[in-house]
Amino acid sequence: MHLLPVSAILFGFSVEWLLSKGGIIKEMLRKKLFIFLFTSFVILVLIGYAAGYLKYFKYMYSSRMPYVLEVSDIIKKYSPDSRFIIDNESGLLTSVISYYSHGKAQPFSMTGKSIEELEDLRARGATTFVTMETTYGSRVQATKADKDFWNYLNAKYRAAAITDHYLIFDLRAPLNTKE
Amino acid sequence: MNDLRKTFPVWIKNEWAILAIIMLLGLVIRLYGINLPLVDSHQIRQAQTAMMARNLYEDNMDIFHTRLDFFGNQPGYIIMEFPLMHGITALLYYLFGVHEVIGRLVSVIFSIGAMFLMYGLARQFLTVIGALSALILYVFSPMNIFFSRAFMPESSMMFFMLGAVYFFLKWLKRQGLILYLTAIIFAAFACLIKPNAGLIFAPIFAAWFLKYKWKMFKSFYFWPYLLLTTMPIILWAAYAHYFNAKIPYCTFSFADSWLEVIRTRGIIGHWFSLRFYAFLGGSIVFLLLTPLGFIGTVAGIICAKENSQNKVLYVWLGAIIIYFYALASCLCDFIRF
Repeated sequence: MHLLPVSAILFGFSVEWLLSKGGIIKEMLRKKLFIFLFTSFVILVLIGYAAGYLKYFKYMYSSRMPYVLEVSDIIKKYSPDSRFIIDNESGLLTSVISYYSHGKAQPFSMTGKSIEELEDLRARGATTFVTMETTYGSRVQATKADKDFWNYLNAKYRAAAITDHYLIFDLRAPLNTKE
Repeated sequence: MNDLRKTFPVWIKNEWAILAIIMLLGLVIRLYGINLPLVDSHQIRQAQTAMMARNLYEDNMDIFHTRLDFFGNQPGYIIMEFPLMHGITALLYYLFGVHEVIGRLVSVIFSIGAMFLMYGLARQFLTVIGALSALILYVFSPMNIFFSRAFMPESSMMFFMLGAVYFFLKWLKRQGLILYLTAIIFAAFACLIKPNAGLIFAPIFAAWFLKYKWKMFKSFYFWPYLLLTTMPIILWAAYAHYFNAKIPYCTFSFADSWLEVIRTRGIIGHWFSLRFYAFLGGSIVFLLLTPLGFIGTVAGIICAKENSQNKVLYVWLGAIIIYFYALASCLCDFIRF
């Protein structure tokens, strides 16, 4: 971004230079072949630019986390007050679920001690366990593939939502306990 | 004006009409997707900015104790760059309620202001036609369009950066106290918003030096300018450093985070990496300048007249190239750097 202003001014210099050669351009415009080639060039450039812009904006404006709003709505619905979300996502993506669910959040990674870490966070007030598919990858299958962790989650906590794209578990009250 | 009348149809008689049309088109293209949720590109940074703005609103605008919510069950206190854009958005939340579209609109408004300043700056070097061409490249740069409507501080940084150079060059010509103070305010805010905006000091000091040579250091205006533009960011960075050091879960600190990135990723290794050049070249040619803009820029380097005023541009460009190699190379995953 820093480069843009100075580049724009330098670009202005080249346009000025081109226009200062007005006589040459006028002379060339008298030749039909030049007009044909120049018009073809302009049309090609315009098509190229239009295609480039469309591709760029389609990419930049497309959702990286297509399920985050849906997941946040579910979390807010069943846990209307304060929320502390354990988010099984890569790195800082947790900030997005934290923003949309309007709650505290902490990133989580599956390790050999996932159950202990889950319980440790729950002891510190965690209310929800979430994992969802994003364009950067999905830990939904990885969560299900860890049989010990997956069986523990299902046996001990209520599943607020289980789909192919996201998993949400309510950690507030364990099943079959008086807690 | 004569060059303009020769080139454009009769119905467009003055530069302001063309300026208005370019800016209107720029505004329309920036309003596309303005109400999208913050899950488009750079969603992490956008969500963090939006989160900080919402927390400012909920914490009665306490800009000295800003919060983020992804540190587990901790209060989430953290000091990052000066939260100007976050603060303006939070103030607007008091009037219109919490809607993230407000944050995007704040960015758009800053970008419109930046367009005016870009044109004004270009006019100091170019004729009307040249300056309008420069503005077209600036307004329709794909990368600039994206960041001009993203809930991120980039748009406000560009506004203050351009203002800092524009008002300074104006002051250098006219020497008014108001211009001098305005130039200081813009430069100070640019650095506060993003410390790497300090790159603007390259063209500013180059222009000063080219006009006064070594006498600039004896000038009554030099040292107050230096002090007043850099002191706010130094104080803010020091405050952030000591504040964040007291927070056990916080790993962010201005200098530390940069130094950590440099330490872990290195600088020189990237200079010999094909990936660095492919990423940098691709970003500049296709996303920032577009192919025609890139060709025009390279041609402009060659055909800009050799005069002392244009040397300022070469120094500016040189500083950016050094910046690319020294700092941005190790952050080349982030195109905005």
